[in-house]
Amino acid sequence: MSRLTSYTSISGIEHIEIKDNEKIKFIFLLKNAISESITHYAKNMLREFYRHHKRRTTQTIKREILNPHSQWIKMFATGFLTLILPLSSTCSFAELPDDSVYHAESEWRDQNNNEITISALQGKVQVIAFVYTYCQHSCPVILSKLRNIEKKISSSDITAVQFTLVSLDPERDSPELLKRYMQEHDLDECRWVMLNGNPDDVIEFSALLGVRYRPMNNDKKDIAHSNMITVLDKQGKINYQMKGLNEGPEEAVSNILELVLSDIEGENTLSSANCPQTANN
Amino acid sequence: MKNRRLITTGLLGFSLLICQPILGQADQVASQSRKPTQSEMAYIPGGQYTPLFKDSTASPIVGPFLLDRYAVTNRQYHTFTQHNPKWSKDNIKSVFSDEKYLQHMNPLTLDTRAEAPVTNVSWFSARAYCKSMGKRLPSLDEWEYVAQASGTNRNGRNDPAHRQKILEWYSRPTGSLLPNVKDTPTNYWGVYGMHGVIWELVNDFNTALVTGESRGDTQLELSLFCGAGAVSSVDPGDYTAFMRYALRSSYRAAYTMRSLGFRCARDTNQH
Repeated sequence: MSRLTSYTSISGIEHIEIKDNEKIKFIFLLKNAISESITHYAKNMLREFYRHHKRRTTQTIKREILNPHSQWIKMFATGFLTLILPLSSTCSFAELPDDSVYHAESEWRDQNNNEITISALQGKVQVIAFVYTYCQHSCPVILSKLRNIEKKISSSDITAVQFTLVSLDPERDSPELLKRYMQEHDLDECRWVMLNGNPDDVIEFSALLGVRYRPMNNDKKDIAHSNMITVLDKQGKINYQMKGLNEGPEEAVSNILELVLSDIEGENTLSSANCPQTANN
Repeated sequence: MKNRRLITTGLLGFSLLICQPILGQADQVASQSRKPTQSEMAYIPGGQYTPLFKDSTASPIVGPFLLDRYAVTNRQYHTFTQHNPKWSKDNIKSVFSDEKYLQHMNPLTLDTRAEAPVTNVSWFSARAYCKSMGKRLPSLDEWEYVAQASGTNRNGRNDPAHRQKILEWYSRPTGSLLPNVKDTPTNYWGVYGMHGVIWELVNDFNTALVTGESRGDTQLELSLFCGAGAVSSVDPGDYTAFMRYALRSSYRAAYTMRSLGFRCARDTNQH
């Protein structure tokens, strides 16, 4: 018992309760993880396990629920809890609600040509808009709306917020162009990120957020698109959408602040990779 | 005790091993890519096409591409969900589909309606199905290009009799029983049931920019869509195309309908 609790407090997981009826399921999953395709089952198992136990807040692990006659299961479970769970959080394994847009599995490049999956956006409140860099009409307005929102959030709260601009023209808007766009518009990499993805993933992400767009046949190859600003909570649920350009930033700001204060946990490694201040710490 | 430490070390190694693929976000959906036989896909040679809404004087060239002759059936879709449990009725995430997903699917459906087109699927799930077959959803232009063919002509748009026939279906309420896909009318390209059976999903449905709020109005909301003023319809007489555009423009990618299904397409150079 003492070994178990000391391990769990080291790993930061002090409040886990396992119910009797869940034990069978857990062991079953564990067995599958070993004998069947390890990747697939381990992923599901972790997710399952997290879902059941992460939210409980009152009790420590009850040793007696582990089968006293089966030493190896005890050992394995101890190892599992102490080693895999903390690791799983490093692998950004927060439990996602069913309506999280991070269930999509798309892969993107940011302005520094770093590869990121869409789920890597979780852990921060995301303020998302779709733009393209040579857009001269509504995109500058969208950008100024976003900066307006940014200015209204205090420096302590802003660390939990990220502004994400998704390119609607991934073929022209290379990561280099995105980088230049950010520099030209003086967008701080600690808080802003621009994404370049393959066209199929752009359409999927736009569909997840209800954004519509249509490449035009004019000379400049403009793209008609929704001027929508979306606020996602830390787990990727759509919280608020500003649908036109006539609305003020107040509602968006109050929604963002509410989400910043919410205690949903999650990891975000994206901004720290691009942000010199954080990287130095 | 020493033994225990050894095991713990082993476990650390093991957990690192299984964490590795998680970090890489390994794609566990196995692609069941296979070659289409002549009978299941129709070859559509490239052609000029005038979309209902156009934004320039030039008409886009569509194709060449391959299109499924038949809409995807209940049986085919059920097999897909068995191989890809993520897309089964029980497992689908609400972000990918509303709660009516596959609500008609039960053992009886699979027994008696196996060859009828599958409906109650969302755009996300239809895309996943096509992907698993090594295909994709047709684009809006591709679908409309094939749909404008009558039984005898590659462009039946100006054939009043053909228009009338289609319009009659669109004005009929959806019957409770959908016909088998092979029992639906075929058109010039040998593609079955483009009209008269179900609405069909296209990949870029969200390029239809008519706002859902302004009913019957094809003017675009200028404050909502950048550059929208340049898009206008060219053929106000094509009612059924208007209806399809109206549906697409109010459609959200997670919606399902009991009259909405799909078929897949594929590029000709991809084998």
